[in-house]
Amino acid sequence: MFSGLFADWFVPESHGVANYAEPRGVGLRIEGLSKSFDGRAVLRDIHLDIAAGETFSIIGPSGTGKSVLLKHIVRLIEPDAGCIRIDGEDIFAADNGVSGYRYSMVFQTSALFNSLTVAENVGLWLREKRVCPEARIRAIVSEKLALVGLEGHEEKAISELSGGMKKRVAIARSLAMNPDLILYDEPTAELDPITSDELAQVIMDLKAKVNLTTVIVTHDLSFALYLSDRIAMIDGGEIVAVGTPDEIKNSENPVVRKFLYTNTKGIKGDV
Amino acid sequence: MIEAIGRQLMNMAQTAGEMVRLFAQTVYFFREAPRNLPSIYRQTAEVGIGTLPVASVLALFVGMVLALQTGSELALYGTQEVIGAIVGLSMVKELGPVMTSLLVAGRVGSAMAAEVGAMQVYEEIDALRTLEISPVRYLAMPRLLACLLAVPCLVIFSMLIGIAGGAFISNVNPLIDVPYNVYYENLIRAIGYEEIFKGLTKATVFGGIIAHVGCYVGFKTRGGARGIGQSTTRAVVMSFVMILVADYFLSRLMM
Repeated sequence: MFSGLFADWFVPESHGVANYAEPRGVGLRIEGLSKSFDGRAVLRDIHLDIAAGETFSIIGPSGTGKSVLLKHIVRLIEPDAGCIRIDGEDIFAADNGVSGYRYSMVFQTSALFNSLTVAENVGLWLREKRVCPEARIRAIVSEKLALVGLEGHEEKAISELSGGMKKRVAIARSLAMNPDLILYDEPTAELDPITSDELAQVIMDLKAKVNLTTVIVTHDLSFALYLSDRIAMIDGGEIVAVGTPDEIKNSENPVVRKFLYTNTKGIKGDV
Repeated sequence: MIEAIGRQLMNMAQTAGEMVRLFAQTVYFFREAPRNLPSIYRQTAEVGIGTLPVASVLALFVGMVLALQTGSELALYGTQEVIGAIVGLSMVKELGPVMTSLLVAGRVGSAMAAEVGAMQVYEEIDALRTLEISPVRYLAMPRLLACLLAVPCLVIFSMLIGIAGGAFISNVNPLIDVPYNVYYENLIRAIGYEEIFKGLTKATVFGGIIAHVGCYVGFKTRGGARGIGQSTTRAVVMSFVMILVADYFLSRLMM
């Protein structure tokens, strides 16, 4: 009853025990998605198909609508036109989204709760949704922290962690939901090259161990080329190219080539 | 100019509408309070125990100044025996609830706005939403309940300490020189359950205003550190104005 009236801040909450089945990887289809802010078009008629279990990166220059697209997928923003379907079901059609599907997002800033410890951050969803007894929650938290290489750090405060560790805690918090779809917003932002490599390895390991669909928004070209099954390039709010890393590298599209072949951050070479 | 006034009025109407909507949501989530008991307890301690020392000092000196100023004037006409009633009524009906609430607004309301505002700026509230945890239930409801519980308790302490401060000055100041028993006899005669009920009703309303404004301003924070700073100031100013406006209407209503 309140979800329509108080759409801005109201998050409907189920009162029963949340679904905690093993992740299954879901197919994602974006159809004709458009969004404007104050009359300025940020996304224009976006069409994308992401297969279940795929690791899909969206690359492009800063300020071209990548993060806005991601926020649509997790329903933080509603589109002006178009829809997003998860396994064929429109996520904006129902108040509670698509039933039986879990998504989570790793934010650019990590968005960890500073008042909570590492373990409390990771176990937050499990406790709030009363998924299982406390002993099981503690076991899940340890298991997810081990998956991202942070075992033994449970009781640390967030302020004690480095940028890379915070990112990994944020990933562990997302994994604690057993998500079918996980989204990363600029995961390597503010990280040094070595920590970016470690993070890429964490995501690659997850890809091997857990059946989930991964969508990564980044302007870190090497990162996207290294771990993606497919890549889409977005520019000026439009998808300008979609393909495998090799197809993107060999694209003749001048916008793609301009983004790829730069002297400092991309593949060094001539446009 | 007319356009600017119109725009300002529209903004005010929008703010009022959003505040009502947020309040309705927060009250809706009161039924989930048992799930958030640790958070409610933490917030109540922060509002109550954290503010108690400074509220006590404030109330003590307010009571003492009130007795000093009023008592010395009354002494000119030889009617200083009624000082207990005057200090008591002032502390119970007006100064206790208002001064304590203004103090809580400055200390706790601003902190709430800064904390929630920082969470808004650093995407923590978005993170809550992606975890399907309502930010209103998780952040606003415990703070509102904590203020509704803690501010009236603080006000009771302030009333008692202010009255005690007034009694002390009335007794030791040679100009006033009212014995404790005379002070308290007048006090008891003037203050009944009705006055205490009115004072605590005000305190409860003011507590609600402080938490609600702090959370609302926090949720509306945009920008970085500058935005958080502006929210802090805005929360204090809004709370002060709303407390004083509510004080007038409540006083008028309860006359």
